[in-house]
Amino acid sequence: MTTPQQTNRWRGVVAVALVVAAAGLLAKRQELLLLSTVGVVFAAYHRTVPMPTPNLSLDRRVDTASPASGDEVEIEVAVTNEGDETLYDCRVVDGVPPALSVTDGPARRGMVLRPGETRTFSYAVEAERGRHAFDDATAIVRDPSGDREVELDVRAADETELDCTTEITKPPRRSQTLDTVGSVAANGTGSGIEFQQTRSYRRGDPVSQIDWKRYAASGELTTVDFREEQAASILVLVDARAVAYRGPPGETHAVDAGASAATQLTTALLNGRNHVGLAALSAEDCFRAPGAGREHRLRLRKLLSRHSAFTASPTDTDDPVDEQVESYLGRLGEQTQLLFVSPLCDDAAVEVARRFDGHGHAVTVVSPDATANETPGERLAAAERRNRLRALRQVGIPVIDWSLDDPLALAIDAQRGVRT
Amino acid sequence: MNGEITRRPARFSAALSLFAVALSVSLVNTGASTGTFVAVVGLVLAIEGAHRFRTGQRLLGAAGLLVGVLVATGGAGLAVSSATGQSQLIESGLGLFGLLCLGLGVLPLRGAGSRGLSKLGCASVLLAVVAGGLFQTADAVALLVACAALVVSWDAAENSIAVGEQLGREAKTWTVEMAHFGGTALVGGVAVGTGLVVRDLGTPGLPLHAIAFMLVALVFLTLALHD
Repeated sequence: MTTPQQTNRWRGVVAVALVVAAAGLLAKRQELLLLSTVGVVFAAYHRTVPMPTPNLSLDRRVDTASPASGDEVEIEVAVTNEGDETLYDCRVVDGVPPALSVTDGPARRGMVLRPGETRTFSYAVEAERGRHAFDDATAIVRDPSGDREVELDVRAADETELDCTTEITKPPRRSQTLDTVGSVAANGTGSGIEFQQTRSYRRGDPVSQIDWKRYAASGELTTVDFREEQAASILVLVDARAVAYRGPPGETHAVDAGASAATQLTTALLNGRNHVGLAALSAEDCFRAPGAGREHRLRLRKLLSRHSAFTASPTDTDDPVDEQVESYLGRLGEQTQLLFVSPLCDDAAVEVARRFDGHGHAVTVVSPDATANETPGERLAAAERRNRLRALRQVGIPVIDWSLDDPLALAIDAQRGVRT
Repeated sequence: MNGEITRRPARFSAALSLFAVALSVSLVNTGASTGTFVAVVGLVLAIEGAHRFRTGQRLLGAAGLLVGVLVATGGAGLAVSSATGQSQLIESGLGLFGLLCLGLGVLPLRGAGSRGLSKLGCASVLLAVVAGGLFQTADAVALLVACAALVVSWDAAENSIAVGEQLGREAKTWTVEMAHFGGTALVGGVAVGTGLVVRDLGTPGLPLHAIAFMLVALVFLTLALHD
């Protein structure tokens, strides 16, 4: 808890009282001298009134946890005074996710809270594509005279999240694979579940793969081979440089869209039992090596919703990406694929994709389209972006062009249609 | 209602503040009380009208502004014309100027209200109260109540601006404002009571050196409270 801050609003009341008293004394007016008692009483009031130690808890309810993009989501916040003092002046501002805009009612309320009492307020936000975590609510508690105030963050009892993503059934992936069981159908045979062939028994074949029925019928030892399924190791790299914070005014910018795409992709890839990592090209290093499992999934999700690289506003400077790319390259396993999520706003992004490709990582680019078509400048930017897409495709890097009006799954399906 | 936050001073406290200051002015200058309250109503109408006019509601805003200015001018005229003698004229002038400043401070034409303007307004009314004491146009009880009402008014104005800044006008804030105002008003009552007790303790013929000693004691008390 933070310490109380002086608001200094009563500063000077004593001085004014003394000036009035002095005036009364000089003019020999008892009435004026008396007026100074008012100042003294008020000065005593703000000095003596106790500052409560606030102990608040917060419960946030969302009417639909996974809305569709553009839906209005009603949020109800209940604040309870857990302490044993009455809070006469408690002002609460809820931590609305930065990417969402409040459409109905302010996400704030002033309240008087007796011990154990609960007050609620509700508001509505418009859901945007992506996964949005709520921040802690901010409460400002003042003593009754307003002389001191405490500002504290109140965490909700359970972390609320708005999940506005569409399930992707088949995330893009190239056929390079690892020797771990996963969902990429490998050419090799082994211990999968899909039948591939039968062949005559060779010494050393696992007993479980011997076709015992056939042996019983004919006395012949045969082995059943299954199609082996293998996992891919994939790094999702999000372009979150300041230059990528582009987008039509008032709408989602490309970094938000990219983070949302990364959320959907990592979820889908992890569901397919692949090893998935996450990194960002940004002012601050953000790298999580590919891994699997429940905890890894939570870590990635936390990174996407909380790391400063994916915040709603850009940092001012853009360091050259070379060093960052170099450091990520050094940390990647040899067979790791790369899913590069970038609006392709400049040539550096193309260069990054080619660098990874050149180092033997199979690269797929997912490019949220942040361009518009109104002014000549916007048209030029769109044309430049098209050229970059073409340049990438020419060197054999598949590019998924994602128009932000459609769900990502649709763009991926369209791309898959092109390739087959 | 959309999600935009209007960071204008909270209405409830602003209204209480203006009411309290009008009470303070009219207590000092009892003859001008009707005029003062009429002037406050006019001022509120005029400023709200001007704000509406600025934010798009042209017709309603213009009408409000016109009616408000007329009513306010009428009220001020009534207050000034009821003054008998120069002393009351000074008091009325200071009081009305203070009202205008405070009104513009808590009901701003643009922005989030001005603490400076509301302080200036309250200082002006305080001068009117002091003038009332100097010219002996009002008795001690009226002055005490006027002074307490002035402090309450200043406190409500400040609170209204702070609540407006932090929570905005759309948020439900009246309970907080009510609690705060209640506390301050209660202390104002206590202050008036204390003043009366002090007055009864001192006899009219109290020697000046006794008063001087009392003042020194007062200074020490306030210093002790200050740190």
